Amino acid sequence: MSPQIHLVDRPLSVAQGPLVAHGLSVVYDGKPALWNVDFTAPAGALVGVIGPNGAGKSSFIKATLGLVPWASGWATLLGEAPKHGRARVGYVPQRASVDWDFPASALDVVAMGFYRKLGWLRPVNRRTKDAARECLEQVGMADFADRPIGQLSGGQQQRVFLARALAQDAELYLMDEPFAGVDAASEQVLISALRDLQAAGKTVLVVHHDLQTAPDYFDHALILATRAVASGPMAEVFTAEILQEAYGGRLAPSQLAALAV
Amino acid sequence: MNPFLAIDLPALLIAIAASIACALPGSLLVLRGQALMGDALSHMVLPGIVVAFLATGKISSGPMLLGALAAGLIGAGLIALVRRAAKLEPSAAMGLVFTIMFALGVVLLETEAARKVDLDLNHALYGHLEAALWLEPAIWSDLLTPAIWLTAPRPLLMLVPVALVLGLLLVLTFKELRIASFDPDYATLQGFRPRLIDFALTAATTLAAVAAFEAVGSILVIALLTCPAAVARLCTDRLATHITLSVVFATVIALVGYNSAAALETSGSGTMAAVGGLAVGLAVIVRRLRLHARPPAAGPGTGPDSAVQPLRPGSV
Repeated sequence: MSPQIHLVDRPLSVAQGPLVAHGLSVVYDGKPALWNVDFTAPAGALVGVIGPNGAGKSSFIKATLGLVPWASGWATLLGEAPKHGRARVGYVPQRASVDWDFPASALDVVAMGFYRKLGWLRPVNRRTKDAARECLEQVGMADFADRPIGQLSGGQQQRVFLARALAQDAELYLMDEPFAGVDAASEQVLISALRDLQAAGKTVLVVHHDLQTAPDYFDHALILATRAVASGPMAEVFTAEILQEAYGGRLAPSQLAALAV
Repeated sequence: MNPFLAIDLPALLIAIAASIACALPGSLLVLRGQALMGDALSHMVLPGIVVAFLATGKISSGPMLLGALAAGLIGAGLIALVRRAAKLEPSAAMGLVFTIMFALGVVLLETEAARKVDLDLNHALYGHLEAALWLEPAIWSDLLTPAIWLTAPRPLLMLVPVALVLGLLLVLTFKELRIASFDPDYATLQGFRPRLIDFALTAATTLAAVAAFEAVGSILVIALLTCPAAVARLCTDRLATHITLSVVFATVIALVGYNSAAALETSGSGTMAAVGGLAVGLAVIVRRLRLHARPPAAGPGTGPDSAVQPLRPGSV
């Protein structure tokens, strides 16, 4: 194999940007969930990952984190292979990937954001608990620290998961549908947290399904429909034409009019 | 000879140790909705145990454990294979493999060779708690001599170290078990290996099932794995309390079960399992009554539905 082909194959050292995907594909049971996606997240951007159900939004996030195998292509996080780069990535998972019946308090969940620092076999100490409590305060959930996570409302649960991601003090944040099933108060907390992260120079990618709010929340977008339909600054890619393409022409004219695009 | 010291004490201690050894991994299996895996493992180890008997010609802990672990691993591999090859859902593949392996164990037990080494089908299936005799301590004060404990019946000498090791492992990996069970993807991102933790839990369950085999047989192990944890789950929403209560209920179920068996002249292991089932039923009723009497304070996110934490289907 010539050195050049090697470079095209795994150019991990030349990948620029906090999150880079090149020709990334994910295949489940012979069906492509994500196909040949090229995307580079600009540093310091607040990126909405947008598309219809089954467009591969979660697969994209999980593939860049190295949580699902790549069928082709590659991705880097903070210039490193996902296995290493993900140590510096804050993550809010999809609701469905968490066992809500498992006995854990809000504080227990936030403390998980510090587990990497603790390492194997070291118990959660008082300092970690105090730090976790501070993170809960940041999202206005300090009063719920001892409540079982399964008994909180959807919005409160998402705030706890945001607090856990904040605990990681990461450079890049990946959030999978943090706004799903969230009340108005929690939505405001989430939005201001996203803005704070951006102001602190962090890069944030958010999987989002609500077209109505997307242009207000994000300055960049990656529009997915298994493949990448478009990506770039919100004003350039959030157009009727591109959205109709992503949604397979299923958006009614009234819906598009409501989006004012 | 003091009949209590010779007959009842060893049987009681074995019952308690078996119950605790199983409750430790069982408490997590129930929370993770993997109780069926515990059932599968306790059945799949039977052919391994029988082969170990046949090879050595006697009941000895070391070969038995090795045979059981090998059978457990082969079974786990077969389940994965059947799932892919036959395109079956996980529980169907599990049910298929464990019943076939169990049947193989039963057939092996009925062979001529097994009869020669005095291996009884009933004992293999239901255990033989009452068989433990401990003639060395003549009077109670003999128990204060450490050396006399080394003469304790073999199942006890196996169960106590197993229970201690499992307890220690559980305390050490408490944080890892919590993150890997609650949110496996996040565990991976935090630098842990949830699949390694899954495997360790499987190995721990196999170890407990094998250690409890002589006392309660291979069929009733599932009761010891699930009942204490199922009762504990209805009492608490905290993981540490859940595990502690599982151990407490395991002890109570063993004590009540053994004494009921003595009074009713029924099988020790069977009565323990029945008492475990009754305890779960009782806990459900008590919880319903308490919730009914004192509805949870209406706060954000506390509907009557969200306050009731039902056991997940398939966990009992």
